[in-house]
Amino acid sequence: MNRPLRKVVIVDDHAIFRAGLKAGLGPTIDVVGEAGTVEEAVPLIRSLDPDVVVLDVHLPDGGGQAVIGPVHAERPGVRFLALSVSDAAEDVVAVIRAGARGYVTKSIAPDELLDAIHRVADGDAVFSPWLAGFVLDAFGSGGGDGGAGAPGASADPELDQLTAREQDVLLLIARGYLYKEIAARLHISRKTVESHVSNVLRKLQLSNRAELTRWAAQRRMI
Amino acid sequence: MLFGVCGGLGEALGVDPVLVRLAFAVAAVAGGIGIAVYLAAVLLLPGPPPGAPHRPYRHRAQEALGLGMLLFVGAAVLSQSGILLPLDVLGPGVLLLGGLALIWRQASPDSAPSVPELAAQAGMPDSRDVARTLLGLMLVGGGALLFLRLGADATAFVSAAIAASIAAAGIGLLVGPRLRRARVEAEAERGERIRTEERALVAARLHDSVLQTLALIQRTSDARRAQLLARRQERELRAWLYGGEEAGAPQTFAAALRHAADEVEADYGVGIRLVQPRDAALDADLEALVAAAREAMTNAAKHAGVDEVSVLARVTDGEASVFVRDRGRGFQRALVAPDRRGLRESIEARMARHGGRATIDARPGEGTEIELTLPRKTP
Repeated sequence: MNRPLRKVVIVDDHAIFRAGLKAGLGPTIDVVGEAGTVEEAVPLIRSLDPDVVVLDVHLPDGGGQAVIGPVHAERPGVRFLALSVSDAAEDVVAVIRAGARGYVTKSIAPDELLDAIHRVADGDAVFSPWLAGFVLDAFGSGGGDGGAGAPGASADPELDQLTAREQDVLLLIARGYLYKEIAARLHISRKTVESHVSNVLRKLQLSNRAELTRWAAQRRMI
Repeated sequence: MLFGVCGGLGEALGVDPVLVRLAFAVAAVAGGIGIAVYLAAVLLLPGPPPGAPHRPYRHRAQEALGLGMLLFVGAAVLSQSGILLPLDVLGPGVLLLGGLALIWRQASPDSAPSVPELAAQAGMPDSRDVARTLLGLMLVGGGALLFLRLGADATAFVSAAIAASIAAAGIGLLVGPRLRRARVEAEAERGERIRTEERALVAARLHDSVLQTLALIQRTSDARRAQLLARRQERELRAWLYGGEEAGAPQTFAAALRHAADEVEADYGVGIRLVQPRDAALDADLEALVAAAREAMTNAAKHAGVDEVSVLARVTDGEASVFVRDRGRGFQRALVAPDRRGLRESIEARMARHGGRATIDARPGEGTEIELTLPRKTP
């Protein structure tokens, strides 16, 4: 596949994991920097201005959101892909709401991670099956009109519910389908699949839906 | 107040120092024993711990004034009635209380020694301790004897009463601090033992699981097999760290499904990616769903010819569903031999018995997905 070279910074407190990640990414990824803490990561990202930051949800001196916070506004071109082994859903949601474009688990296959980094660099959203399943659960299971009038709803009610199509897409992601497989199954283009996922990401970031917080607080990803 | 004896004793006994002072004042008035004991205590008792806060001067002055007045009144009463310090009570009293003070001082842990130090002391008391205790006991015994012998004269009644109460107090003083020290030691020892046992438990667990797996992986040249071993170990460790269920049958739907997935993974060497956002209490229907899902996972592992199977388990208020998907070779229903009963019996018929259904979406060359759905009666 003809992919442009991407500048990537890896932020993870385990040096061994960083080394393994770096080794598995191949020629289309140029790992320009590595950091193990929030304190190291923020100035590094500012000076290197990478395309994508692969960011561990958990860092010794604060969550991944502590890295995104100071960088996100001043460098909107830097995109964040969150990654973790096993974390409370609360932490994952916090990182995504801080501005990460996607979330994958550390057990992801190397080629899938490569794909995820390129997609995030392109401005798309990346949902792992786990995140898709949990978002589906968090936004409730009613149809496209479900969840209306939920307590703690946002000013914009559109943010508090998923459309039927978005639910279809999320359900297929959770079931383990790739974007191109989803496109084929739903008879839509791959671009449309991507825009549905981006919309879900936006809702996840902006919705004030009370269930979201409650849901995240209760669940641990295992 | 003068030397801080009352305050210190009050603190050591857990009694308001004012009460201790009152007791001393009464003892001082009733024959001067209090004064003798006070002096003995000044000489014998350990000083306050270095970090102890000093109370404001005003309070101490106030108390001193109060006690002074009491003493003054007491002295006045004594001189009026003419009972001034009968020697036969004062002498043995000093002996007795001196002995008690000695024992108290040696038995009471005035500094907090570290755990190993305490343990060493418990095992083998040092000879100075023994000598002090003996001396104390001798003094107490002598005092008591003297009391008894002098018990025949005019002040017999008073002396006997004082002797009895002092003996009782002495026993309390003798036994109390030792009991306290023993308890402190026992607790420290117990805490240490629990910590040691926990560490041993974790070590044993890691040895039996993680270390064995790592050793196995090092000897495995097949990357695929190493990956499976690592994944299986990861699941086990995670279940142990976060699951909290050590042994026995799984109690919830999610745990039961994970258990089934783990077994299929182990039996057929296929990775199973399990996503299950919401859990539910396990009932007969959900057990059947898990059993059917297990059969579907087994089929995928055996026949699809893939490394990985994706499973999504969804629980909503109205229904529970499990999707088992592989990207394998797929199959055509019509071509499945009629004697292969897994699909029909273990999956379709089982789901039907519990009011659910199984939908099989198999496309030759594109993979298979089995969707199992079960209505739920209770939300």
